Amino acid sequence: MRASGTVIFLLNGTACTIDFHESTPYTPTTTVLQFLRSHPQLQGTKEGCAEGDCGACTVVIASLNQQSELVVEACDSCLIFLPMLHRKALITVEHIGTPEHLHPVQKAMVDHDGSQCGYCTPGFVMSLYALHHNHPESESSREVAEDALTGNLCRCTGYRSILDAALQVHDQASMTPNDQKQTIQGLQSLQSYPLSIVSQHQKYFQPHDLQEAVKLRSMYPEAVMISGATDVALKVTKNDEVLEEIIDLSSVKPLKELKITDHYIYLGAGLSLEQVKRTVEDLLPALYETLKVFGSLQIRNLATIGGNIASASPIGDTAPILMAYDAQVELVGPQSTRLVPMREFITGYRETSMQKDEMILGFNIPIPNTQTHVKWYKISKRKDLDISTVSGGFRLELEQDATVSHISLFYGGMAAMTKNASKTEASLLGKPWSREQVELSMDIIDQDFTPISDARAEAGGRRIMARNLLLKFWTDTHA
Amino acid sequence: MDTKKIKLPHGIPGHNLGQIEREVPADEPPAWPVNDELKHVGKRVKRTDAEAKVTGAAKFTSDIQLPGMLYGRMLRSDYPHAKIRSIDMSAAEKHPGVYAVHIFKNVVGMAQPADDDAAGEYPDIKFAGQPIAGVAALTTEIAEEALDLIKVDYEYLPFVVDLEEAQKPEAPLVFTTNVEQDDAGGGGGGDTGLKTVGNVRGPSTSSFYGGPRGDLEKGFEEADTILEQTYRTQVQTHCSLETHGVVVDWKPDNVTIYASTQNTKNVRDEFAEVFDLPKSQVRVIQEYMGGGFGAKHSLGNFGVMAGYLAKKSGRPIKLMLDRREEHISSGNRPNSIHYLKIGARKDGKLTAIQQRSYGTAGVGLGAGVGRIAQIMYESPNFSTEQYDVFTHAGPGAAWRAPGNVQGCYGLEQAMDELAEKLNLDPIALRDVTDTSEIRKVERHRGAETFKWSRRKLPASDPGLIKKGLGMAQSHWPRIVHIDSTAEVRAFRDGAVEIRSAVQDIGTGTKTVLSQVVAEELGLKPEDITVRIGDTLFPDGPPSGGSIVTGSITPPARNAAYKLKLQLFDQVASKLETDASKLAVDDGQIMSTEDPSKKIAFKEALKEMRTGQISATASRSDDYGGFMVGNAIAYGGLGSVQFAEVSVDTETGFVKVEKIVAVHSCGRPINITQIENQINGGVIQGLGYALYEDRVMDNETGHQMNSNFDQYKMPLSLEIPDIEILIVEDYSGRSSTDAYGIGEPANIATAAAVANAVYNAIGTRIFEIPITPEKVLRALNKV
Repeated sequence: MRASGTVIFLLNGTACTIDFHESTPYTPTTTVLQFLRSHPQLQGTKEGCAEGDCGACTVVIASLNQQSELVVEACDSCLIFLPMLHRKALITVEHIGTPEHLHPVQKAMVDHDGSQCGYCTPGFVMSLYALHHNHPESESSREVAEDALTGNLCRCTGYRSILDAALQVHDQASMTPNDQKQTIQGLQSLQSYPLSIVSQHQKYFQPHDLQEAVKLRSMYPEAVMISGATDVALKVTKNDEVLEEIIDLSSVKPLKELKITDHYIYLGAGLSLEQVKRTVEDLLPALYETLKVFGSLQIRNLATIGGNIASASPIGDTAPILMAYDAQVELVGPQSTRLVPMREFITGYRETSMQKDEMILGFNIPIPNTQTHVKWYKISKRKDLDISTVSGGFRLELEQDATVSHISLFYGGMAAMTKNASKTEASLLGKPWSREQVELSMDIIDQDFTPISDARAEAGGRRIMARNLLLKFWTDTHA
Repeated sequence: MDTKKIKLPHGIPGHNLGQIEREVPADEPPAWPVNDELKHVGKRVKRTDAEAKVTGAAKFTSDIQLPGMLYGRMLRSDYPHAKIRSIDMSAAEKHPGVYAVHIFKNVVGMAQPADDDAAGEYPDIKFAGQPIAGVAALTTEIAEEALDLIKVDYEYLPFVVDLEEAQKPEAPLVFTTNVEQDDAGGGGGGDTGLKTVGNVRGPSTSSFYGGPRGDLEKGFEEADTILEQTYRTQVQTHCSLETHGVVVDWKPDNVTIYASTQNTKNVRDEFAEVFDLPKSQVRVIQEYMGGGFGAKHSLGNFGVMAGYLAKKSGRPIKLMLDRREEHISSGNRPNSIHYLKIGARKDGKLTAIQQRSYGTAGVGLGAGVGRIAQIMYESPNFSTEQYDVFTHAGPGAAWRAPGNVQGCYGLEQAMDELAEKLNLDPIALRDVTDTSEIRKVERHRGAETFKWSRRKLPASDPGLIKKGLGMAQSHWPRIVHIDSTAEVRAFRDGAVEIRSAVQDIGTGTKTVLSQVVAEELGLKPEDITVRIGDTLFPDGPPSGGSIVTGSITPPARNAAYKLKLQLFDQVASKLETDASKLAVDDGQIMSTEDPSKKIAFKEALKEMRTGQISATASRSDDYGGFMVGNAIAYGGLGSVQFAEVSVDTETGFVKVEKIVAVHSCGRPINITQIENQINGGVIQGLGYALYEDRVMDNETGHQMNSNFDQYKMPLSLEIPDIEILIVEDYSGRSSTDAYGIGEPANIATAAAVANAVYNAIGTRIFEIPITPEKVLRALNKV
């Protein structure tokens, strides 16, 4: 497979190519939203915030998975770089219906008065389109609908009419069998090759195999690695940074590996958070709870577990819980792979123990036995799609006599990195798991952390939150 | 003026509905019966433009693309307070792809010195985000590159962004002379002629309801109980999904402005004034706009800049704000520190209300707490002192019941506290002291639906997650904009149109107009083409203050009525009857005496003498006159909201489980749209109560959360079960007797939620938003 600088994708059913080596108004970090807004006939997709928090720019991206099945997902087009569309189908609101021939989800929105000003409406319509493709039957409960729409902000309607619309169409699939067939055929007809875009100011690589990816990583140690780009895209759209070297790992198959044994789950670093969420519901319920309120569906469809950990944000939601599960990070470099305990992986504010020529291959997560309690807590202003003020990934093992034989208390939002409350843990180890003891230990948390004040909360508030999360853990786990 | 006497429905169906006789101008149409007897008015009619919105076909200002169009961007100050020594635009001007540059000589949308003394060459910088200059270029990217090339030499000055700090004697001054602002946010503090001492302007002590009443001292002496409390609210930013912006197309004899505005008429007038053009040469078009909520009445600095850039470059200019600019410069709901002292007798009768407030609209006016304390409860003794405090922050703007939302948050919690002190149920207390008939009906209908009797003593829920119930109520005046005109045209090909410059802010004005015209002409709403949002048509009201429905539906009906009479005249002889004997129903014109004499409405149009007929009507004075001037009608729009919350005492998380919202808006026109708007108002109120908060950095003077990532609004997962009761309330004051609902929907929610939180945890949180942090602090008594 010879790499090429030409991105090829289906734009509303028609093959579209962008050759970055030719004169083009676009760069490899032009977002799909910017691309759409530059077309007079594609103005239905709106910009609301350009940072993945409002969903006005929601589009549907269809692609073929490894089993050649059609995967249909709603995504925020403001966070997707154009080359990420390579070999995918982009579907916008203009494609699915017209005022004279409405699509069933559009009809439902009309019937339930789902618009006021209407600016957010195309984004909602596309979220509904993906929802009803993926949940064509009665499984489209209110909970599923709320989850599918929570990435879409509406300032006028108060959402009720839109949720009612979401529930009206539960028995109609979004794509007719013929649409699906045509989309699959269209995608199959697109040539398959890795991308290697070298433009005046930027290099963008989208390798297909792991070896090639590792080689590129060694060649360009300063390159930004992306998969869903939900975090990295903000550097471009909010901070106007020019990303000079980008390695897009989204097409590297080994990163999508998913293995479940009796004792372990192995999650490839490139699995989307939504895929992870669907996988772990029964086996790792605390991780499931984490992901249930992680970002929006549009974000979870793009963002990967590897990306969330690699960014090493002090308020990243998956780090504390993977630490509580005692996960191991598998790193791959030019010579070999190695395993690093998750608890040692993050070394500082946005710093990890990953070497310049390494990348995360996946995560090995032991499935706790039934006597082990693992819980995840998050305090934020808003329940969903909000960055944690304080979060906690906790693990507890008890002796027969209810004394503590193991306790891990990993906190996010309390320090420059995800960190355990080691003094508090020590104070509980070997002690009875009682309210009295927990209340004594709550006073020790202040010795473990010196939190900061910021726009989300003041330091004093964070201290109370940290204490109360421990109490909540006791409430949820004591006999 | 010839008059006639007509009888109109009066009162509340199911409660005290009757009739009232009023003397009205002779050319007014006959009274409509109550909604039950109408075909299209008061019904659930589908939104006229729903299909265009769901398919992406609706073109917003941000979607306008014109041949040769350039993109404008503005340079904004990073510093909150500075003098500009010099500006060097030369590099920006030479940047390839740049077609025009402009430096502001004046900025609009903020308070201005009362006497225009010798100003410097450039306006002083008074907030971080104040625009300085602008460029027009082939693309937004090129324009932004050019902005980086502008060299500004600043003299930095000390600044203050905090409401309390700004009141201290040593605080840096925002203005050194008395100031005024024509287009203040309308929050109640923006009276003219008030003095400024330090950064504090005021107090404003009177409103259209009058000035102070009675004798406070005497009132408090007569009280059995006195409540004294201070309540605080935060700055909230509008966050319309479509940012502010315009496209200005300056042709030699006509300027066309596509504007994301809720006030086409005002944008036209402001543009004409700035550029010294006849109003007739300025056309403003708003086909669709992505939300306004009060912040989009004006041309704005962006509109002025786009005008200059268009004039200089000779090409159309598009200038849309980005999300950060929207947060920091385009308006907000000012914060408040709201002191209340209320005296009451044992039976609940109020003896005195003393109110004092301080709020900041940044560099603007209008940070009062509204008039709700003055009007909602009977109290013989009353005084208010509302102060504007200037800070080096972006100007406030009107927002859904400006001032009153802040005021209601305090007042309705005070009433809740007072009820507890007096050992009265909150509803019983209001029954004693609130004379409004509509609110009484709303309270009791709402209480039944909500099952208010479930309410227990504060903090009596035994679990870790505690439930609580609360209620609050509000008042909003019925405001009428007399300068509201509609034209109805009928064409020989069968088309019927209504035209007005009034715009649809998204609430459904287009649909409402189609219903009113269809009802009058015996047609269906879908038969009526609504052409609005264009100043080529007769002037309409602004979409603010819940003014539109009450202002434009009567002239719309009256124009349709006049047009109908013209048509009757033309067909009477054909039907061998007298025009006065004709009526319309179900697409037919027929004789009331002999139903066999009839002609289809569309057939009648085909036989017209001319290709089209037209009739125009303007808003008549209210039947029986106005309460104040020619704008404030008698009566008010009452609303009562109930909230049920659960509070997690370990995480501090407040979940609103249920809201019952009971509202009136005179004669309701479109039930679905009213419900939709109430839902939206409640959810905005919920964001205000729990999440939204502009956080300023005292070190830099910048907003720390000028985005959607950290500025949080409710999403679909947070919405409670909302049950809406609409109470018809006929007053017989106009040919439609209809009013708006935008403001009332939003006023009481935060107070109802706060009262419910108190009922849940037994500790009152005096400052919104009620965050987990505040709940935990309250419970842990840190």
